Amino acid sequence: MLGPNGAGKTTTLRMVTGVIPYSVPGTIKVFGQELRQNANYIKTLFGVIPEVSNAFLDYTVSKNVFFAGRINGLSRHAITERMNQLLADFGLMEKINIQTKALSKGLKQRLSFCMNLVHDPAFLILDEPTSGLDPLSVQILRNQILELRKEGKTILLTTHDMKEAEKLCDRVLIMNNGILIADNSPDKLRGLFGGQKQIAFKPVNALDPQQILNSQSLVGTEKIRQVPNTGYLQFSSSDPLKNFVTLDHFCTVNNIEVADVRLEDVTLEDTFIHLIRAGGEKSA
Amino acid sequence: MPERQKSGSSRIVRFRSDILKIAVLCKKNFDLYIKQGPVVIFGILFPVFLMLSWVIGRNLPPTQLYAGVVSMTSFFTATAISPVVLPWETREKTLERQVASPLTLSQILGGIISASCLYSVIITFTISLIFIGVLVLPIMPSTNFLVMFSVLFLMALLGSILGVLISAPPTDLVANINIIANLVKFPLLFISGVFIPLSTLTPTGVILALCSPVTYLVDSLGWCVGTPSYFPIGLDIGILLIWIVGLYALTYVAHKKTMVRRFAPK
Repeated sequence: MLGPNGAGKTTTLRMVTGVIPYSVPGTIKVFGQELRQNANYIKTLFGVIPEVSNAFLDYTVSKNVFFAGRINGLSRHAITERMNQLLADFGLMEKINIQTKALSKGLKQRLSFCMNLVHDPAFLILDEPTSGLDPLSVQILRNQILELRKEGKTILLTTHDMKEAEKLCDRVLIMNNGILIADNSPDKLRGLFGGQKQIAFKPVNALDPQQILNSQSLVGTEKIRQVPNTGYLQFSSSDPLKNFVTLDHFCTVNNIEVADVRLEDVTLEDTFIHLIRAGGEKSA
Repeated sequence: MPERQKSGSSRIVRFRSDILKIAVLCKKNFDLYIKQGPVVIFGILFPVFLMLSWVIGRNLPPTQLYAGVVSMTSFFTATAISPVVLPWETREKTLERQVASPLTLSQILGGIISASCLYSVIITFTISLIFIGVLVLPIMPSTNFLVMFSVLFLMALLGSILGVLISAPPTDLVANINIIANLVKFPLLFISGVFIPLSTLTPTGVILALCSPVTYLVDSLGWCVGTPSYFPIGLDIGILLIWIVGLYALTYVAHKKTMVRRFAPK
């Protein structure tokens, strides 16, 4: 689930986890069951990992995991067995008796994963789980998320990191101002605006608005975009070879000197920015 | 999936699950909050100094001293942990995790009330036994321990529920809740019969005293150590029970309304 700050991602997650109520005509179904009617049972299927670890700071690592297991109705024996495995997987075994407040942010987040996986939930809800973490912790957590995905768990993840979304997700939802504006696979979303490739070129002298308007003829209906603070102009291309030829012709005719020209893959980030801007223009 | 403890839909199984979860929450609250600054200040230091300022320089009868000191201890310790937990956990985001877990509001409140009650019972029973051993037994050997421990337990429960009720405003600042707690606790203590026996109060004073639950505790503790009680002991206990039921109902409704607002987007 992607969206700019304030898009409503965390609010949506809070409704899904039953923390805040949702309005009466709406429904939230988890594995086919209405959340409002079966909240207590459905919550046993969840593992909810927030952006900032919410472990008890004065508890040790093992006490936090133990508490999480107990409130999910696990026996002491089951918790101990599962805890040892999880702490080893997340590289926390040697910290088992350390107080949580003495852990770094990355280690605290790994602990959050252990606490929320102890009852082996079928549905994991991750709210920006790698935000602000060191690269090692990010790698460990991403690998674990991929492992969990392989195990067949349903994972709902919000993130601002488009590369993370491309790497981890097989379905991407984009939200803006509380509304779902896109729902597709990363591949299909990338191809949403005229193809999977884009051409970027940088004129030696910045083009005036009229020249930019004229350059529209290069790509027909597709809009030429200015890449902020770089001097590049960019457009999506479904036929790069043809577009290179027309670009060359356009620049020669209009006496435009080009410093650089590139063929790039369209990223999810490009699509995201495009969608959000389009939404912004529409609402404006 | 790890082995879960037996679950089912029968009332007994559900009751057992409720009790287990409350016990887990109680242990967590007890472990984490008894050493926190506001709990030590308002639960131990404050009543100690209040008691000293009341006792020093006055020639109080041992039975009145016992009933007053133990009532104060019971009331302050019972209302020490319970107001602190919810604002603290709102700030630390640990409350949101509990709400997203398979825990009901009653279980979360029950965990706080039981921890606070346990804290009060441990301290008050100890103080009570010491005071009885030193002050009361030498002059009054037939103390009614059963009633004494029962009313102290009821007061611990009542005070704990009152503390949770006080923490209903959806703030994450403990200091804000402590201001409200002091606004409620001190008037309830001062209008009760702790400092001046009910029998010597003016009629207006007695009417005011009837509004405080501490009055019934002082009256029944006095009865336990041989002082004639103002009300029949059964009435004292009955009124304490009514306070407990009424306060719990109010607490549940208040938190049901405000819990959601703790997580509303700022």
